[in-house]
Amino acid sequence: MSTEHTILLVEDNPKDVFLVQRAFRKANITTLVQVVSDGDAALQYLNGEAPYSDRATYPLPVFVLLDLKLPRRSGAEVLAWIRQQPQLRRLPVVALTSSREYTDVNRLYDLGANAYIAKPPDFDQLVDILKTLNLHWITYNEKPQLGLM
Amino acid sequence: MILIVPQTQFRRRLTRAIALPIVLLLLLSGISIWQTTRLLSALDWVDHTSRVISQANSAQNLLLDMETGFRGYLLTGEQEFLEPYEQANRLIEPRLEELKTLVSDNPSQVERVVELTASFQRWEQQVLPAIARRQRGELEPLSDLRGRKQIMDQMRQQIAEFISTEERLRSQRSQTAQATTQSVILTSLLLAAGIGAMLAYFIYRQILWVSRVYKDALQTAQLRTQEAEQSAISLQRSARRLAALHDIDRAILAAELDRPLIGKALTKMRQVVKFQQAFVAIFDLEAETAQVLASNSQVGELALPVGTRLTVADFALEQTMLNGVRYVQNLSTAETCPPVLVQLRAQGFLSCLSVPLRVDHTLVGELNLASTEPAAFDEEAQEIAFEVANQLAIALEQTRLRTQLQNYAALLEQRVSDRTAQLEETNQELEAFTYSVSHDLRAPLRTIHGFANALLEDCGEQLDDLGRNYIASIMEDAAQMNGLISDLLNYSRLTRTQISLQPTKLAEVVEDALKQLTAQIQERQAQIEVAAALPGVMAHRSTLIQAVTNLIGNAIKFVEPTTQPQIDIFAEETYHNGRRWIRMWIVDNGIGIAPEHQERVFRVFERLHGAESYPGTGIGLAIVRKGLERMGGQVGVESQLGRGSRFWIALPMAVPPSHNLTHDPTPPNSSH
Repeated sequence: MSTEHTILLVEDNPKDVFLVQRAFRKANITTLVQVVSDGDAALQYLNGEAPYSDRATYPLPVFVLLDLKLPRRSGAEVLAWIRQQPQLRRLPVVALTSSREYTDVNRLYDLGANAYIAKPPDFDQLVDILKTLNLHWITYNEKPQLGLM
Repeated sequence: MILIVPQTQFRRRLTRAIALPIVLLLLLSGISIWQTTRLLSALDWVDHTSRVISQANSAQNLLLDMETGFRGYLLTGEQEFLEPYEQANRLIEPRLEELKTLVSDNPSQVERVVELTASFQRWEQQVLPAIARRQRGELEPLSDLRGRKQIMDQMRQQIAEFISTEERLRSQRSQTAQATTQSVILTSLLLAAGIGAMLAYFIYRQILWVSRVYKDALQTAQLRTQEAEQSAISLQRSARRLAALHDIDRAILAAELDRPLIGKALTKMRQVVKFQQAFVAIFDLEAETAQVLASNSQVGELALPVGTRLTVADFALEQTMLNGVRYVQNLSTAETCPPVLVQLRAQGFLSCLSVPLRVDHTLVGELNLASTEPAAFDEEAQEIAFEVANQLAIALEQTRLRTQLQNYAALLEQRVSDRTAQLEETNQELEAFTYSVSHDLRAPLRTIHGFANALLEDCGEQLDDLGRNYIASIMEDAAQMNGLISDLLNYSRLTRTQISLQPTKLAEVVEDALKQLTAQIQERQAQIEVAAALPGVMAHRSTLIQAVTNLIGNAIKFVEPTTQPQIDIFAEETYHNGRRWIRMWIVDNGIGIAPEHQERVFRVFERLHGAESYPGTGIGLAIVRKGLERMGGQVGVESQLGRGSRFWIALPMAVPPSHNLTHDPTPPNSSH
């Protein structure tokens, strides 16, 4: 397991954050998980703005785990913004949300989401999902080049 | 007709004209022949008498010859002198006989001939001895001479009498022949003249008659021609009138608005009715107001331009008068005039025709025609105006109804769109509600489950069994509630999402469903027999998988705890409405459903058993039914309490994808 990689978790519910982090631990994933609690903060982090200007502490993530229902700026808006940034538009984004509504699912895919996962009711299933995501996006997936036109 | 009737008469007359001259000519010829015969017979008689006379002369000559010869012999005594006597003696008797025959028609002459013959015989009796005596040379006594002379004289006298009688007869007969000739000529002339006159008269009569007949016929024909011309003229007129009315009708049908419609109608009407100005006013009887809707002027300015507002009282002195046709033949001599007519009179109009526009006995307006000539509108013009007024009234009413209908339609449309907006709003609220249910309601549930799980895992050892059981209960109910919310969301999603039907293999669908049910199947050790080669159907794959999963899940779940679930899955083909349907059966050996409950099990939240014995949300079969409905299929059940259930779903058989997917919304017949 590489420690060079970072995952950015955009989640406003601290309990969910706790459970996700716990699941990561339970899945024995050592990848660094950076957490921001709203859409604006996600933009600041990805843009390298304060308080996330230090790229050594806050490196660009390998992929983003994005909740949809967020304060200030919704997950969909964050995704749309990412896809408009020349530097970031290839960044893999996985939606992790409670909604299974087709309107949400289709809209996110239309905006360019790389995966859409409904939060499972069972904790063990969450562990399975995180294991899979890690395997897919970090271990096996060829990472795109960011920042190059 | 008039020419045909005398045809037989004419023929009769013609026959007569030919027959009568022929008869007359025959008569003429007959009479001529008869006359000629008469004439010929008269001439014959003359000729006959001439022959008698010549015969008589000849006889007399013979007698003279005899006497002369005899005398010569007596004187000379030579035989030579006696020769004429002997010659004549041979001829005389036959001649006398012949003469007698010739005059056989006349007894007195016959008598004379007989007397003559007798005298001759007497003379001859004396001659013969005298000759004998002369031969002997004896002398003739004078008495004998005298006696013979006496007889000869007597004979001469007799012949002379005979001849004179015959001559008398001849002259008589000549006269008769002459008279006959004259009469023949005369009668012929008379007859010819008479017949000629008759014929001339007859021919004159015939010619007169024929000429009269033809004069009559000619007159009749002339009369007919005149009539035909007149009817042609009236036909033309009525055709023109009809055409104009038709044009008006068309204009009425074509135009949607009142004003151009009436304007066109008035223009068209001018082709058949002569007027200088026309206008149509509509009345509002309740408000007692009137408005000029359309006008048409041929000369000068309009007396009442379009849009002029008046009162109903301006049109007639009494409102009841408005209901009838009013015709003022001469405005200048009219005594009392309503204001409208006064205005028309001021503009120089002399006659005015006002026709009411009525719809169902209700006065809606008036058509007014005005002319600068007095009594300009004859009966035909009035009729046309009346017809046009009727059409206009209908058109006005139609326009009114159309407007009313349009208003109603607009109102209805407004209501529909309002209601639609309301419904959309409600729908959006509903969607927002489902969204928050799916997101907000499940989020705490998930954390409850997650934290309970964490509690059990992280602190489980510090708790006794009771505490751990509590946590297990919390997790169980959280999972139960999550299932309920999931089912509800699935159900609501089925009603809202769009479904497209694709050919779907039932075998794969069943396989997927069984995969999802692996845990339950293993838990209950369920025996599931799936028929080989399940066919394809037209369906929405995920919806069908969910329905089949629910059905098989129920078949496993609703079985007595002591019984091993045994499930048979197979399909059959049916026909309905000319289409091929697939009916798939899921037959179990479960607890069964009483017939009275078989309809209820498909409703939302309908549960037949307590959560203790058979846990569930009560939505599973509702999802099945909703899903099948959305796919144009049907679901049903046959069951007896305690004898298992036979659930079936029916869907149209799969068609190649190239076909249009217009599925028949009517489900197949559920009866067997």
